[in-house]
Amino acid sequence: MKDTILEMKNITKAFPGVLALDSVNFSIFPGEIHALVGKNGAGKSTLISIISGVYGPDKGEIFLDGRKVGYSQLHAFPVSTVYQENTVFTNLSVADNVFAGDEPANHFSLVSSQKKIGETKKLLDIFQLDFNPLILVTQLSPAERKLVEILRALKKKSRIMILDEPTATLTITETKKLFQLLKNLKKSDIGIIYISHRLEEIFEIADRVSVLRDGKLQGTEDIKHINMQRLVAMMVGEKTELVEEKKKESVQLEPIGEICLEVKKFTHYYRKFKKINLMVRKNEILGIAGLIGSGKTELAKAIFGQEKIEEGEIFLQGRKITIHSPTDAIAQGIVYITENRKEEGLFLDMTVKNNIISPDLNSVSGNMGFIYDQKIDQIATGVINQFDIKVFHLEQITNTLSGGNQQKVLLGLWLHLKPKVLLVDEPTVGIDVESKSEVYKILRKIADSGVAVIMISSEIKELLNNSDRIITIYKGSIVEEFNTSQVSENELLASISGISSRE
Amino acid sequence: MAKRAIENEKSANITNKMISDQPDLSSQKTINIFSIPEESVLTRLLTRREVILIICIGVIIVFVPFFNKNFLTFSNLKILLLSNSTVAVMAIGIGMLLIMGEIDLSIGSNMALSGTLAAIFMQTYGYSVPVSIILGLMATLFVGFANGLLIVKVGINFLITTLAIMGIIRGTVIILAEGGVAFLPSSFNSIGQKFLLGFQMPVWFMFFLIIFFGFMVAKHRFFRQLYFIGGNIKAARLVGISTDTTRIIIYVLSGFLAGLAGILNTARFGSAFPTAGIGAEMSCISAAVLGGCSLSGGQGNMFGVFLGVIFIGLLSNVLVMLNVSTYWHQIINGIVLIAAITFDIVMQRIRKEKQRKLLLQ
Repeated sequence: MKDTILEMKNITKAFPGVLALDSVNFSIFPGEIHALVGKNGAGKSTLISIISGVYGPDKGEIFLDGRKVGYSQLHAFPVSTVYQENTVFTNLSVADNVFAGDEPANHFSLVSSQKKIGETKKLLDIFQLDFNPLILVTQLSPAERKLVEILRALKKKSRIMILDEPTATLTITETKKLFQLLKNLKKSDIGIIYISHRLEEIFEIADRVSVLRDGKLQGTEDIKHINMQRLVAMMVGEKTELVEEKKKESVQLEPIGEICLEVKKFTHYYRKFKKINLMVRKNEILGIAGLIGSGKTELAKAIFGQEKIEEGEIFLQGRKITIHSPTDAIAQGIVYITENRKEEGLFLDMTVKNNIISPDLNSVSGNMGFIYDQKIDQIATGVINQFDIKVFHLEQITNTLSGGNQQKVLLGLWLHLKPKVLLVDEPTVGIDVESKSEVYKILRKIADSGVAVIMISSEIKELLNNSDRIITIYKGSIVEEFNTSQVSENELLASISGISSRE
Repeated sequence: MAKRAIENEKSANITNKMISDQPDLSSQKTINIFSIPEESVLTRLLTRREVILIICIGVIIVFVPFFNKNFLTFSNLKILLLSNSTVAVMAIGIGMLLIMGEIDLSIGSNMALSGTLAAIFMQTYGYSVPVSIILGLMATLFVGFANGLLIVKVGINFLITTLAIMGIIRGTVIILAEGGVAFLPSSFNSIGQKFLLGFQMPVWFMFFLIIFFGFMVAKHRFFRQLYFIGGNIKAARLVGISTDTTRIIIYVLSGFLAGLAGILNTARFGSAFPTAGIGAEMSCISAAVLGGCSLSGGQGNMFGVFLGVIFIGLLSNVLVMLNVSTYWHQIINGIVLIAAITFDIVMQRIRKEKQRKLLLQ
């Protein structure tokens, strides 16, 4: 067996408020894909930050190629990280991005464009990617941007490459392409650390898997010697129930009510979707499935009044309504929960209670418009109890909550308005398994209380497990409509990819 | 402050109770891991800008009298408040804009505009005093509205817009007033010169506006929206806050307050001069930032802004008392601003580091 590239023993690191890592051991071999899994806040990000030399641990030993070294050595070690967030410069070309911060020089010490373009082309050829190195990154899809980032990492001739949820924004075909690329990479003796919430991927691509929970290492296993059930058990702890197992019992046939919301001939101003007709009943969860860029998010935003429409009509409980802005929609009882929690969902630097009452300033103030602080506390406490949000006090800054709790604040913020129609976009993006199942429970409860729920997602399993009816969208048009109990995952996959299986 | 602390405690009790009600073991475990160590009252106070400013002002009041006996007199207090009244009135508008994450650079010019216009209407055209004042204020309202429309509806960056408007208005004022307008009616001058309970009128205007807007910003629904807009404008839009209207109204309000300051200033001196308010925007911004507003928005309150104005005013008052050359004033103001912000950042870091170390034990 080859020697490890990197071995870490008893790594401990604390942050204000969190013991992020507690005596963690971790190692990586050349040519190996080592998956790192754990819920949000389990310490994954801290571990990779230490590996990539962003900061040193408080305690612990580090060995590089078998030699013991100081923490500062890691800073100089060739580790490249591809972060979950895009770190490409969209205003520059592919070649500029690949060589960002490390431009090749010519004899006059000036940037050599020729060399830059030539080498980028070579890299693109090796991985069979067919785009022009001079094209601007703005014109690329999210997946292609991710590939550009990986190319940048490869160009640096790193010994270790860290991929932090690289597939979070990718579609299925794009993911396959990425995996092919990773398999090719393994031959070059590079050590790859792969972080993902999508556990199926790990079984497909990884060699070993390490599980972190609450800052402690739960174990490192060979992927062949572990199954899904055991992996989830390690991640979640004593609670071993799988999200999937819950499904069948919770999706009972509820008495489906009258039609609540109906949308006719909806066409987006910029044609992101065309002639959409759909309706959703009370007590029902309607799933909308589609790939990224299929127009599903724009559709939801248009119903909410956030995106302009060219034509179309909305009927709420049989009555025609017009919606020009989110304010109109909220007044009619239609709310939209964004997929982009951090950027347009929450006020991250503000307190939890202010976040919760943000859509609700009218009801916490009197006739003259003066705000009653007690009322704010009362509503906020109610929401925190109802949605079981883990906070220390109402004045806690939202940014200090974990992803799952932030999502619950977002849900609470909208749901305490008692909407008639709830549009929820990717409700479980970037949150841990446990919080996911809580979110599903909340959505089901809301539907049971007589609300029409439209759930938009690119995670097919999530829709299959939690909705009553599923509509698939491909390139801005509705492809098919399914009854959830009569459709398989494969059929749905085919449908959203534009290959209809029922024709 | 004390009331606030009690409130904090109350809400903490509520949440504690809430958490302990949960029988779920795993959730309690997470709470233990993430629990924030208790902070001392001192640290909590020292991270509030108002408290620091009050301490600094206190230090000045205690020590300066040793060097100059005239410092701690009623007449000096009158001068201090009067000379800062116009800046304080304008700083209210700047404070509200900063909470929203924006800035209006045109307030200095706007202040000159209202005074000059009112003076011209009174003197050259012989309009009555109230009508002239209203016309002057209307002009600044209009400028504020133009700022708002250009920034919000056309979409020009707020710094560019207000910088351009600042130049346009200043030029207009110079053309209109040339050397200045003097010999204004005494009924007009009395607005700025009349004494009430020992203080001149502008001081009372300042107090009234600070208290009024201080209360409104803290308590009123409309002004609460500013914090949301400053915190995250995209999210604010999605939660149904009419961001466009609110922003335009605040620009109009900023123009109006600058106009009011201009009228007070002109009445106080009995003449309008076109160079009035040059550099006022910078004093207002530094006072507001010193008082706890942040350029990135979402923070600040009117009480802090007022303390910031008073502190800066007090500083230059003290420098005069100590016979420091006026050339030094700007240098010292700059240093104080940098020092205040640095102190804040350092305090935040110390706080975080303490929490971290407690956990390591």
